[in-house]
Amino acid sequence: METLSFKSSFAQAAEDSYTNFDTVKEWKRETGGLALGYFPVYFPEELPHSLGILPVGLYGASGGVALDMATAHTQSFVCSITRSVFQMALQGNLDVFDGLIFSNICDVARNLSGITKRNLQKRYVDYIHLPINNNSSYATKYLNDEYLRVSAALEKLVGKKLETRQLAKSIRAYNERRRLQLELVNLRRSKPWLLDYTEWYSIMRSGSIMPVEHYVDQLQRYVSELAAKDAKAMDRIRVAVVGNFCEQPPLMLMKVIEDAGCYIINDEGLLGSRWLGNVETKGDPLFSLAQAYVQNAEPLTVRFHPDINKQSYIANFVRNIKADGVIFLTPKFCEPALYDYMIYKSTLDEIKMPYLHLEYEESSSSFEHIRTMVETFAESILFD
Amino acid sequence: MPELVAEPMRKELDKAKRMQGDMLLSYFDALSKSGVTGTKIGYSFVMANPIELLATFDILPLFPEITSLNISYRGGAPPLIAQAEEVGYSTDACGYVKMGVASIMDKTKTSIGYIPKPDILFLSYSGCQIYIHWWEQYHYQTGAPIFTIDVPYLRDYDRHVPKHDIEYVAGQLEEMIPKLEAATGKRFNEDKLKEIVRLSGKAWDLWKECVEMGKLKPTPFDAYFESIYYMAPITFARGSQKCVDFYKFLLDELKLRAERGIGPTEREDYRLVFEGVPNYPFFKKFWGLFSHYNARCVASTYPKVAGLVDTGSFRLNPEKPIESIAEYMIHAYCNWNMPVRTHLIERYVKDYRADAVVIHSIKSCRSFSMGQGDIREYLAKELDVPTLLVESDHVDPRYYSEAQMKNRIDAFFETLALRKNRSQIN
Repeated sequence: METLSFKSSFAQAAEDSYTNFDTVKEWKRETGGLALGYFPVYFPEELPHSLGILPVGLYGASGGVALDMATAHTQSFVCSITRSVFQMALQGNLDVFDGLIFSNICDVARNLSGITKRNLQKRYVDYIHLPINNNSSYATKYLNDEYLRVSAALEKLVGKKLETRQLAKSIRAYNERRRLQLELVNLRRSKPWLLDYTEWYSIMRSGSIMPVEHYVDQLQRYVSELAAKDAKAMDRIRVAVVGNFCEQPPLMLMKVIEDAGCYIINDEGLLGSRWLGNVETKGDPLFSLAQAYVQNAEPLTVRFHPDINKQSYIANFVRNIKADGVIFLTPKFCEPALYDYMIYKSTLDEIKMPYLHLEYEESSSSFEHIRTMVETFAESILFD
Repeated sequence: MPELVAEPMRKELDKAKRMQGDMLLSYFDALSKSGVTGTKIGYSFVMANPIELLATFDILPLFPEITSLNISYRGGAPPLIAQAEEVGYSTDACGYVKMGVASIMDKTKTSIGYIPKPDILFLSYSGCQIYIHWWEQYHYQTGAPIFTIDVPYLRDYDRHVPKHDIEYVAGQLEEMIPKLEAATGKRFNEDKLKEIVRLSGKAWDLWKECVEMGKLKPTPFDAYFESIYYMAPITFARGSQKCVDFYKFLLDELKLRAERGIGPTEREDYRLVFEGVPNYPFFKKFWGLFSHYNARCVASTYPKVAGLVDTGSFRLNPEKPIESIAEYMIHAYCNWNMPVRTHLIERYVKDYRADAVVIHSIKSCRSFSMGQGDIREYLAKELDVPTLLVESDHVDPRYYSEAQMKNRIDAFFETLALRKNRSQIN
């Protein structure tokens, strides 16, 4: 994919990724290419990218659309991101996408794929079943075949064949994106005072919509500048936020948490974009991409892996990142997050790590009670 | 207030329910004695369980969905749900998970007795994502190992199953055999598996004949409310001669009812298709809201969670036991995508000559319920099939409002009556 002439700032691109997708429209105008929208949490963006299709994450409208149409088709007890993405599909915000793709992160997202297909019958709508029996000797072969199936559908959509060399090149581009994002993750953990959550978030979110080469180019410069920056640390507690891997919390909520006396040293926002880590590009790149998913032993709430022990993972994780406390930030009605909360909290109780559980919806707008809770939480740790 | 009990059938033609009840009691009895007999308990799911393979190793399956629904049916859900919520489970979590976890907390006695803890957790991941999380809860609660069979979702909108899906599921089943040998200390006996698969296949064939009796006009049975009883043995007793005998008995009973023109209501004024999980705490009252109008359900989707018996999607074959179990595991109702599910309901309306569709949406189960509004939109707006969507829960009585439910159902039947009158005039 060619580097584009237009320059889009992180903040502008992030803004475009909620409801208007102008960055995508502009890219399509300039290149004549196709775009594919994918529902979180993880999607192998390399597949469409290698065919010249722009992959774009659909992380919800965050209150930017009324949910009247979606409400008729979905239940009142489903999460907001599902309803806002479906609303956008019905009212036309997603018309810019030539295809939409989902995966098995939860029952709600899974059924969303089906009702989206029924309502957008002429559009390419697909669903990847990512394996969960990841210590089975059949898992990688299965996922390799599944990626081949999806690639064949994308090839049909775009009218060209996937080439191994091109796929390896795409993997290298996304490897670089993941490497830089992880560098930023580490920088935030070591010096959280260097950037606030709003800035961090616009960088991560813009990565879900910007063409990867352009994004990597800007991110590289940003990370070097940030690493050289100096700022004064404040007297705040270091908290790890857990649970916001799919539906995105309102930025104001994150600001409230910061203002109440916390440095968010880690969170799961847009986790799927960096979670895979580095993928081998020698040999068969498609197989390597599948293998990287199957072998990745880092927990992802929406993905089961028989070899992962979540209890020892969370204990080691909070110790390694030197967290003072954990804030479980779970979207309303998000069952996967609610069940992991139960597993993690029992371990935190054992290791005496303070934690707080908060719920949100992407369109929440009142946070006064949350401010009080977080202030109390932070003070109880600061003055312990 | 009308009488809300639907039992106009002669007792001699309603014996299968009792037979099922007795089978269930002896099954619960075997579960409760497992500690004494030393029988290994394998927690399993209703959807897509490889029970034939477990039975080959004499593992007794325990289905927390079945124990929980029975506890709930006997009014025992609230204390268990409260116990789980006290330790931190959310009101938004599935009621089955909460009941399951609470039912094996120390000193918990449920309304059906003590529930034994698992020796092995068989995670057949088909049609329900919460299965994963539920089994993880048990795993960390009890330390029991999880044996996983990952079953890919039906992704194709024309019901095509890719070859790599079947290879993947069959491969995992093969991989599980040495694990089962190690866990039980027993050698794998292929002949035994083939015999169990043969009996399983016979039971499925008979059950298929039973569910298709709903095509008769009038239907001799209620394919939703009565099937709730009839569907249990195909899950917990499948692969045994007893299970085959039960479905033979049921089929004969239904045929006799049909011959004598007897059914679950006085007359058959309305023929309904039902989608969704029932409301167990108020099961008979809920049924009464429909039977009061002499409405009989002629086809329903819920009894197909154990296997889509009437769609020609799978057939257990003793000559290919592993492959045919793999195929079966893919075709659990909730493992089908929404458009295919919707078209199945559409087909039921046509083939079973139904007047309307009722959707009971439950808060606990997003797998079943998410998108049922879209099914309603399609049926009502695109096919002009009267469709009622009501919401409550399958185990949590807090989400059931009887007055509200009755109002909605009464209004629906008023509309159906008007529609019927209009069509008779025309």
